[in-house]
Amino acid sequence: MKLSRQQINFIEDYLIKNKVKFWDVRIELLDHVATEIEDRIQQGQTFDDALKEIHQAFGNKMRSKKLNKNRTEWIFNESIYADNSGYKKLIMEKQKELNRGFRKSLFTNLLMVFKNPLFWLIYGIVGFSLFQSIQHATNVDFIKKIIFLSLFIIPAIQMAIPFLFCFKGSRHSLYLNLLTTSSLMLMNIPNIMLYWWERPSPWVYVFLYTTLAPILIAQTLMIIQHSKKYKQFYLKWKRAS
Amino acid sequence: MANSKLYKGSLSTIILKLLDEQGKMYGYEITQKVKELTKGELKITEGALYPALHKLEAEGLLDVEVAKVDNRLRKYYKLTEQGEKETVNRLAELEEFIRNMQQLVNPKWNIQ
Repeated sequence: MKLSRQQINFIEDYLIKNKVKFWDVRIELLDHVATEIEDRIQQGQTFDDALKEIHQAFGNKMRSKKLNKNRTEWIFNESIYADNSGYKKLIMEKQKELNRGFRKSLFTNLLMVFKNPLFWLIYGIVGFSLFQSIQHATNVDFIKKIIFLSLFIIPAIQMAIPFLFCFKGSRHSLYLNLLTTSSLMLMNIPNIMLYWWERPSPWVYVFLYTTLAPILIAQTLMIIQHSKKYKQFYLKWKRAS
Repeated sequence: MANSKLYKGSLSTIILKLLDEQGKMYGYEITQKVKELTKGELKITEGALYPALHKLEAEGLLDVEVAKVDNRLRKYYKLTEQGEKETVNRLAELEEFIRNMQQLVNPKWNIQ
């Protein structure tokens, strides 16, 4: 027996209520739960009983307890919305694997950047100019401002890339969420600098340029590659739906 | 199988082998195929299957396809070129492991 549109919507609501908020995780779980329910109904089970059993098969519990407001007694909750630890674990595992994939991809792009002679040429010229300017105390404040601002601007551009590639499909996607997280972390570097040093030496800026420039380039390339990959998947999903 | 820990290390190889034979499969289909082939002896739990599939996908061994089935969307997994090569290696490793285990558990018996 095939499930009706209404029953499919019910399963989707059930997943959303159990905090499976990312669409790219939910589509797979929705199909799994729906197909298994269809099989179980075929074997004589009811929709509700099948859903309860599947809920538990994913590692979720049917019962939870919490203290009341006055912390005087336990309130027990027994339903398919009582506990979502199984789904939470599944999302965390997927998150771990995606992050591992992004790290691997960043490393591959970093190697590619290091193998590019043009990168070394530009990197060397900019680095040498910075060194000379600071050594002869010319335009030091200007250079400091440029490096400081680029630490804000480049990660901000990186974060905007996925939205430029696939604006409509960018909401509630675990893949894009994780892809932009590393850029957000890089944006905090200027804050950390200001917290640690009130007036950082110009050499701190040179150090930041030499260490972060290759990483920022590799990360931008990685974000472009994965945004393209995501867009392809999103379009496949859109065409199929 | 009472002790599911025994097959956990081989789960990704089982998935790769099935995909190599079937072409493309979706999550629930994999669990049912394993159940059918082992006559219900081996049951892959959902909590173990999806992390394994996501790991293989992140490693670049699996590719995904989306298709509309009935009134919902289905995510199919299939082997990439790299995945096909890796399946051969992992199967050889698993066969070697089974052979060694046989030697340890029952030295007189040999699968060859």
